[in-house]
Amino acid sequence: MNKMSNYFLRDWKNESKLEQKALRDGFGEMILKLGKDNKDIIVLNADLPGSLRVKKFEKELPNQFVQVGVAEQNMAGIATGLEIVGKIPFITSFAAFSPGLNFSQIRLAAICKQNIKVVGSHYGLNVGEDGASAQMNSDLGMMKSLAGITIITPADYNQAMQATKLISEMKGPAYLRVTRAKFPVFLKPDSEFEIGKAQKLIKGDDLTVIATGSMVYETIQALLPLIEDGLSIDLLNIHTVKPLDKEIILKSAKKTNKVIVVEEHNIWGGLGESVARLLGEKHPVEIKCIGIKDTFGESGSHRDLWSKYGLDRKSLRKQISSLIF
Amino acid sequence: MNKKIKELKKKSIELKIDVIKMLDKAGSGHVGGAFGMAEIFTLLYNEIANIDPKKPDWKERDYILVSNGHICPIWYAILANIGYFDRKKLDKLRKVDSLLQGHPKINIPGVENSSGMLGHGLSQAVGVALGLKMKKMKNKVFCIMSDGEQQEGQTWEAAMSASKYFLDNLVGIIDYNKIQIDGNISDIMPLGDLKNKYEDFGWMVLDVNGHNIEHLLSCFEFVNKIKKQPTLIIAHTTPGKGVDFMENKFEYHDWTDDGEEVKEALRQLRQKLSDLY
Repeated sequence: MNKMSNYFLRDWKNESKLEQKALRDGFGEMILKLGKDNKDIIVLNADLPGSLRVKKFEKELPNQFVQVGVAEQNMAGIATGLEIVGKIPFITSFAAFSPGLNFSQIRLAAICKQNIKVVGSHYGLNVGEDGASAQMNSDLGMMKSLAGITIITPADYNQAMQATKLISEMKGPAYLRVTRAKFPVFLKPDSEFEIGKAQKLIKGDDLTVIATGSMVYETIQALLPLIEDGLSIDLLNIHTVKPLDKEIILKSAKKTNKVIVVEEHNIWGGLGESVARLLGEKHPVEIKCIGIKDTFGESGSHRDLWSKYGLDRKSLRKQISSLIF
Repeated sequence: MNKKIKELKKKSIELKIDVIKMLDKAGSGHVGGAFGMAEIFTLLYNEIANIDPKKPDWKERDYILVSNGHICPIWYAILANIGYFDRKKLDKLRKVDSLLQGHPKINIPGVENSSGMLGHGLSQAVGVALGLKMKKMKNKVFCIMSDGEQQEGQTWEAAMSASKYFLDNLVGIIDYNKIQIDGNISDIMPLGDLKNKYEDFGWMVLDVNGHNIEHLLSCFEFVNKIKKQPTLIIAHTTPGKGVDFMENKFEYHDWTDDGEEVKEALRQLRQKLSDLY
């Protein structure tokens, strides 16, 4: 038997009835609101204000906006300095460039737990036509290795808004990854959301499915027919990749003894590895990590790429079925 | 030599003696750059910057950032000397559980920025200066850099942004000692005309002998008159200054000693100190 949680919006199962919005828009909208309420919130950007959805912030709050040009390392360094005088800096660019190009500057800030926020957009194959160099599939691995950092990869637009607000309120370094592509808005804007606490979207007994970020809704669509066929599933939305909600994962794995992790990231360094390590140490079970199989992407449409690289709902369903039947 | 200059000179030699003792106990550390900058650190903390060692978080303070954090023995020595923390802590430099790490961290009283990766400090200083401007505060920001780290591209990203934002509250100081860890700068990667380069990036640039306290004092006085642009002081220094076998030798960028050199270095420095009495 499956029990659906109250995280969902009313029409969550019916994709055609849901609004489609990019996660970067959730960030852009919330950071503007936060900036208006708190003049210490500063947005830094490296020549991509349109892509990061901070054009309105730049226009309406020019004194809280720093345009550094194409200089991501300087952007992170300036943020560190702004933090020293009590500001709350958000550095914003493509994930391929930030943290891709300025990891060392972020690491230096993280060593002393400085309160800087890194917002990387355009992760995953869903970036599409711009090709491999723009599709960042290594950011979780890089950032996960920094001690004490918080990493959030929201599942939809509403959750991106919530995550933006929460990282602005917490102390210490944080990384928020958002998407260029639009995804269905399926979570309630006011649903319970706590950093480091996973959301159990569906409660069941036979299989644990863990998904994060852009893959959460696609995984739901992969699972729905299986659920209708009687499969009982625990579906966890791990929006916080670090710190990992070990408790909920262990509890679920002890119940089902079968775990699948789905993410849009290289399987090397991603969430799957974190879950596998946890379970390997505490409660070894059968586990399958679905993600990008240690390869780089290429140009193509979002959907064509997901299909080719095995991340579309049909491929997911097939891989999940092979583990359970 | 007037009394004030003499006192400052004495203090700079005392700091060098502290550094030798610290590095002797630590068993390793960077001495060349530390000695070359002894006068500048002494001046900044005793005469130039508006600071209060009893209140390291005082909001009105001037900010002194060090980008080339490996010269921290001299930084720690002056911070202890003027009372930011207990001098006994100097004995624990580079030891496990010590406040004083091999490269500076911002949790050390008086240390304003973390460093250890070259080329980051000027960006951090731009951030501090920009943040102070946003708050409409008048504090000054000093950023000490090495010449070697001018090879880092980020330094030039930062230099550009400092003039874009008219940061006349920012003073960069380059320790221009012409050596780096593996040799002479002119062999490893020549810097060209630093003065012209910074001027092209929109900075006011001053050249000064980094060991001449009178000149340094008038230089810092002049800096206060600069408006609407950041200032760079290119301090021409002698690495290892004050100990003859260390001077101008890139081999003394960092130093692990057998014990004999410590004795000789201390002897020479004590001699110089007593000459001033």
